[in-house]
Amino acid sequence: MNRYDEFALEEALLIKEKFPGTSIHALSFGPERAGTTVCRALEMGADHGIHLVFTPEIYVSPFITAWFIASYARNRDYDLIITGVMAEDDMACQTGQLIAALLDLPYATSVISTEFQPEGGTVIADREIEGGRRLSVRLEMPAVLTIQSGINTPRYPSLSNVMRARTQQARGHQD
Amino acid sequence: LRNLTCRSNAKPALVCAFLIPLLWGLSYWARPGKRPASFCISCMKRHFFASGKPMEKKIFIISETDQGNSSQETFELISFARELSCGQLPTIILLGSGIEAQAKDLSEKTGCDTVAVIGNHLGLFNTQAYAHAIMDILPPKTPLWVCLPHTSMGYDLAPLLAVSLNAACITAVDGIHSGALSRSIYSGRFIMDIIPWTPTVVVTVLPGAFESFALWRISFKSCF
Repeated sequence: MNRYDEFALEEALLIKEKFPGTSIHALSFGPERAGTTVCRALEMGADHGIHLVFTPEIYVSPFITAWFIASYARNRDYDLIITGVMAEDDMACQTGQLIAALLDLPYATSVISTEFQPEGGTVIADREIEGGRRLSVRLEMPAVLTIQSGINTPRYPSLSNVMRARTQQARGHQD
Repeated sequence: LRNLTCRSNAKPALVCAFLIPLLWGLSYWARPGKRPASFCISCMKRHFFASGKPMEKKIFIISETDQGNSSQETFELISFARELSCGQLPTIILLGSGIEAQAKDLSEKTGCDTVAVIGNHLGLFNTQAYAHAIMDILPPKTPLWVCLPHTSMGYDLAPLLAVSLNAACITAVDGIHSGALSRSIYSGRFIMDIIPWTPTVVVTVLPGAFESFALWRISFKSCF
């Protein structure tokens, strides 16, 4: 799993711990081998895993990735879409913003701290900017956050979650 | 008779001398995948000109301010824009509150047309407010280059502008060579060359990748 996405998933898990009843859908877009990333997300504690399979071995631009993810998320009423700030390979810093732009949602990039106000339907996100400074933004949910590294410490998968992930994987194959 | 014979013998050679370079040049120019970049005779480099006309594509720079001053990246973006377009000076867009003096100073220092968008809501960076303000300035349905620094402001704003303008978005560009924009990937182990095909392109330029622009350098060069 992309390192920045681990921080993003951990942030989602922390929100789930804080607000019970939250459901986490971990989504990956890519070839068959990207399925292992979805399994890893399930092992870490995600409730559902979605793999958008894209088999052609070509360069996939951030726009293509964002378009597929936005198309999947469009009618599913997610309150929050959390991504890593960038991919470790092409370091484009675009996918999260493009998803938000395609879905016409507010977004914050390089988020280093979050505070949720579910009663108001808002989230306050601190963005990391140059010179060691922070910029706080208040976003109305649904919103998109791209998570900067160092915001939390990603957890190791627990044995119970690993067993659950294997069962879920088997169910997926049966379907 | 001798003269006439000489002339008739010289004809095929002359035709070949003109035709072969002409055909070679045409095939070079029209080869697939290289069309957006064309060769500039004045500086002997290949540039990104829409259909070979340098002035057809306007270049806009979104300037970033740092505690009341234009950031270093703004001047680097001007160098990048000049590299893109054979010395054409870009238009600078400056956003903020109380930036009249700063805009005037920037215009005098660089010689570029400068547009200042002033409003209290633009005092601190806000993605939606900045995007709306910039979209109001940019001419609609016109091929453009929109250049931003690859800072927290630049990479936050660029994808939103790209979607609004129906443009390609290329981030963290650190060079231009052989008619392509280059950027480092895999932590700098590889270099990716990109040739954009959309009429409008949004680019973020890595700070420090281009030398800072200074007007006196051009004035000094023009003396010789």
